[in-house]
Amino acid sequence: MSDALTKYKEELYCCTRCGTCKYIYHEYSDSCPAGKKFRFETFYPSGRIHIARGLLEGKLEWSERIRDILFACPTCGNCTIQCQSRHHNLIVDIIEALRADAVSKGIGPLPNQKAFAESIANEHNPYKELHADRLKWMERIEEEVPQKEKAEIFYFVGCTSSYRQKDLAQATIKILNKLGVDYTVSKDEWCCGSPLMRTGQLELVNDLVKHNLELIEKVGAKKVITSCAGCYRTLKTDFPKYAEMLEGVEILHITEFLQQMIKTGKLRLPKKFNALKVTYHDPCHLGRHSDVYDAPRTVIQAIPGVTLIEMPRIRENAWCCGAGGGVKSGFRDWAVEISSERIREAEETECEILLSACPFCKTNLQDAIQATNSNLKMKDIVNLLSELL
Amino acid sequence: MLQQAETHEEILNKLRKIVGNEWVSDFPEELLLYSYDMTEHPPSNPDFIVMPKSVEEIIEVVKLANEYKIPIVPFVTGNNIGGLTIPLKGGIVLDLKRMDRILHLNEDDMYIIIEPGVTFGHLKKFLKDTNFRYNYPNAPPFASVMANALLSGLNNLSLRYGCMSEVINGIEVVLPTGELVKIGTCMCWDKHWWGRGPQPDLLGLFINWQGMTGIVTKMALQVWPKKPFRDWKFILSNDLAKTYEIVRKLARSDIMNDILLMSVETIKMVLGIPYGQAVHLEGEPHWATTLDFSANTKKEYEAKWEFIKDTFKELKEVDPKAVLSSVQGAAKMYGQKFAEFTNLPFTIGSMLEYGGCTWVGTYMTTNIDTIVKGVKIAFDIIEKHGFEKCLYTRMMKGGHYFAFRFLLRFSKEEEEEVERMRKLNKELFENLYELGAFPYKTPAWAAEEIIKRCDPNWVNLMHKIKKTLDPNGIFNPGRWGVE
Repeated sequence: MSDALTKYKEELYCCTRCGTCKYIYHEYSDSCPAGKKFRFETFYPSGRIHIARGLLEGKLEWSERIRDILFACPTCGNCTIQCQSRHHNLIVDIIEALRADAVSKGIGPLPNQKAFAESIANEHNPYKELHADRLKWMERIEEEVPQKEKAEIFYFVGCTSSYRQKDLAQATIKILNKLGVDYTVSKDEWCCGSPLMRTGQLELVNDLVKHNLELIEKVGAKKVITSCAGCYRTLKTDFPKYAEMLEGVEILHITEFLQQMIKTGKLRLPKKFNALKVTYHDPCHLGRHSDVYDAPRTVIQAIPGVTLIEMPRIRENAWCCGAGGGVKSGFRDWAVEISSERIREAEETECEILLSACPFCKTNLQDAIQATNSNLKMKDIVNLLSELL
Repeated sequence: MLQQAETHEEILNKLRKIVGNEWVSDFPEELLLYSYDMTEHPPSNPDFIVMPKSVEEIIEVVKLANEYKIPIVPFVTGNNIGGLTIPLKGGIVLDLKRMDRILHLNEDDMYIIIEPGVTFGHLKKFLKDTNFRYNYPNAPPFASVMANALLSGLNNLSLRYGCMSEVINGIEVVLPTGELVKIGTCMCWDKHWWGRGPQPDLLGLFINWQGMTGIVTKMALQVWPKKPFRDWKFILSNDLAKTYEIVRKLARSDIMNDILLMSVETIKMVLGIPYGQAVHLEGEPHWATTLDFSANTKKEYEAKWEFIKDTFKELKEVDPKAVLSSVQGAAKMYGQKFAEFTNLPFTIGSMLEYGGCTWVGTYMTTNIDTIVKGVKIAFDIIEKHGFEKCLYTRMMKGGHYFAFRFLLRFSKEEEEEVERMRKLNKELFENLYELGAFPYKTPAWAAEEIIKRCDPNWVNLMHKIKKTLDPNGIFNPGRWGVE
């Protein structure tokens, strides 16, 4: 047993498997995607904790099945909200520690996840793209993208926006330029390490954290803005576990930054939409993992002509999109099955557009829109906003 | 393992054919998790976990179990606190949580028909937008409504209606030999589940048998109209005998929904006081009573409230420091967790966060001297074994009988503590049994003790019934002294 899991030994004995983690407390809708799908006790958060106990006590041995049970969890953290016991905040940490153990034993991660670790080692991104192409998203946009040595704000673009959801990076630039703020991006940005931390592949993490912090320090930024919920959670919550954070540097998700700009009157939005109905999906990394629920809603509600209609499961109780925790790479169909449930829920609001604030959520929800032949349009808040400017 | 490897594989393949590959497991991790629960009862591994989706699949599994003479133990969430889903003799644990439909709400005759996997939480959600209410335990929301009824659990309308087996209208049940039988008025008409009817009541063949005589696949349970006025009051007191006297008077008045009398240690535990620290401190009141009542009109509500206040005055004369307040007022004083008493079911996190939770829960006489004596004896035993004196009692069925139990949290990490808890429960059982207290959701060890002490003809009759219904002895063997 690794140090990672031994650290949680006391918490492993907190869980009685009372079942409260399985559903939304006092509301009773499903909360755990893996539990709902696979139904055996082992696939619920409490089950994973008891698997950890079994491993710790020598009653279980590592196997590929146990690996699959652990990696089928999107680590959405809904259980950390529903569980009423004192270990509730640590459930996802325990699952990640178990994954780290699986990796240290050579049983984990899943093959695709191993591949993105190799890619990060070689090219500093999980997508097997060339590091040299990191800023290729800048091509074919009219906006000027600053690459300064020094700037007040560092826009941490993230790998997904750099290589897969380029329009998000482009839209963010458009907004930052419109605001006229002093910011920069960097070709030297590396993967934040989120895919590795979520899948227990911790070997490279220290290097990634160190490199990115040095980069931010070099720029002298006072604010780091991300348009990716995963990067945001990692920079804000995980980086401090690995390194001393830079003094006086604020980590902000773009929606938090925009909220500030709207509240101070620096961002004024023209009316372009007419009675546009939208609904909003809380990304797990932004919501439950980072407690940011209001900022995206404030931004949406500030757009003239837009009405936000909420789904039944929102904020702390939001149903996960299914992409996180390595599920998208490890179990592609299963990831879309989870997001399909979210699409059905969004359709019930009779909105035209499903918004989110995470490129990873956007990808998986878009995949579900296609899989379910939904008429919904999937957009990031930033993309919607940039259409106005 | 019960079988040779080849036979095991054979059974596994046949089970897969019945329910589908993904709904059968003999993986070590599943076998481990279904081998124990939150209680102190020793673990015992099953051989297979099977998750059927339909009655037809259950029947096929039962036929297969007969063919190979392997045990079957029904399971939904395993939260019964009696160790009742631990497969004492191995075999198949039949996890019924996929059968989770609420099939019907009959508004004329006020009942619902449910499948075994329906939990209290789901039922509450279902009834939210109707004019009807069920009743709920002070327990996690995700326990099986059906299992609670079959095992005579107690909920927050038990003062009115008794334990939950008393509100069953009828069942559909798979017998150990694979036949599907309907009990109650539904035996005549598929659409009428309004009662047990005037025919011979065979429901007793399945209630409290802990799955030894059948696997219930459908159940009709009574629901009741919601009342427009509902309120909760709270009493703190010191004089136990006098408190029970007024509790009994209120119970007999026929105006209350529910009366819970608890030790202050229980309240402390509910409010989040850590394990080992829920103790009575000098100067504090000893007893806490919650009163739940409802009314059809404001006038009726006020009249009931007047009666409660007048009854409380009798307590106040003997126990001048006694206090009567609203639960909301108490929540302001003691914390919002307290208000959870008005929003059942709820999870007492602080009771369930030390890995172990158990009780000796009993039904007994409402005789006040006996109850007071029982509390004293039990408290001495609990103190001797070093646990917390978390008493939880409830008047049942208009005051016809009484629920007397303890909520005992413990750590499962240390075997010594688990063993100490076993000794405590055994000692509690022995002493309370002498006072006429009968453990419900009866653990196997307690059932064996009862069999040694009770009418031998009852034991013979039970054995005959079991043998008749389950000739191969495959349904939850090891319970009630039946191998």
